[in-house]
Amino acid sequence: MNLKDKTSNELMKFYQLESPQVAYEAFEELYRRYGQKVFSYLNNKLKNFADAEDILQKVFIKVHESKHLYQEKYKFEQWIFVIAHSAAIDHFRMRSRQQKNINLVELNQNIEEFFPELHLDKDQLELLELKYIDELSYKELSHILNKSETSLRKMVSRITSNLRRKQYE
Amino acid sequence: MNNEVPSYLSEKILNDIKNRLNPNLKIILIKLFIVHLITAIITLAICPQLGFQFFKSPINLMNIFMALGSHFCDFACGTFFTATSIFIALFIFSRDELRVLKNHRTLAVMTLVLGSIGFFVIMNPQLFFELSLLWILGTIIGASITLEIGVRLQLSAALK
Repeated sequence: MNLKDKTSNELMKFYQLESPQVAYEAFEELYRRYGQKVFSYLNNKLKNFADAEDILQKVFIKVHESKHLYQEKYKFEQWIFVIAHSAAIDHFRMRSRQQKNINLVELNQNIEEFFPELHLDKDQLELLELKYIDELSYKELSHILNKSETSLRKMVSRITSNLRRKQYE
Repeated sequence: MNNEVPSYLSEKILNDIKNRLNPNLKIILIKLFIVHLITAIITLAICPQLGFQFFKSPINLMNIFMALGSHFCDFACGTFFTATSIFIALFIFSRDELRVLKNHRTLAVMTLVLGSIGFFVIMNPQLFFELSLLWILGTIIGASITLEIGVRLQLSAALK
């Protein structure tokens, strides 16, 4: 079947409904039309070739898994770029979460390295992370940790003064 | 900045989608047979086929079908027997598996019909000579129509 002269919407219909062979040919044609465009978009957005490669794979797997949700009223190009955009945002979020975890591990390691006798528990470390890495206000901390602002101020003050004291010992 | 998609990546994506679009037919048929086996045990309680009923239920479709005559009963029982299994499979199988099943509909229907006949004959060899042609026709039509309509609806559910 010659699919080259079909519109992207028509190709999506073949991809959704026809036999595996025809569906694959329709996907191949869609990939030929949009693979490069999506990759350029991702590469420009992420500024990292390897990440763009990973996300491109994820985008087309997402297209495959969501093909039944595609509706004719959308333009295929818009639809695939919405998927690519969401995948890029998810990637940024994941990176930022990983960075936070690295910061927390580093914070923990630094504290343990410099002040081995200062045994901070998980809650205290979390509090330090939220206060100094995520830079949350005491009001925000109070909502998240379900503690009063005053007690949180006292806790942070106690930990930091302990750290300061140990630093000068 | 180099913006070209590497050819190995394109190949990998296309191969991945090809594999997803072509799940293993043998595994799908085995899954279908297992679904039919479980569904059959339940449906036999509601509508005993050829006298087989593993446990009793307050509902008896056979009485309703029999009201319209024994020929209709044979046909309707056969239809109900396989249509129910395909109906359940529609919710268990992935869309790609259903597409493959639809593409090999004869094989899928025969798996159900011949599997059922084989099972009944093993349980009671005498049944082979008593099997009604209308029952067999019912099983084939029930499975074929449910597969055709059900898969089409599943694949295009979001198109409407």
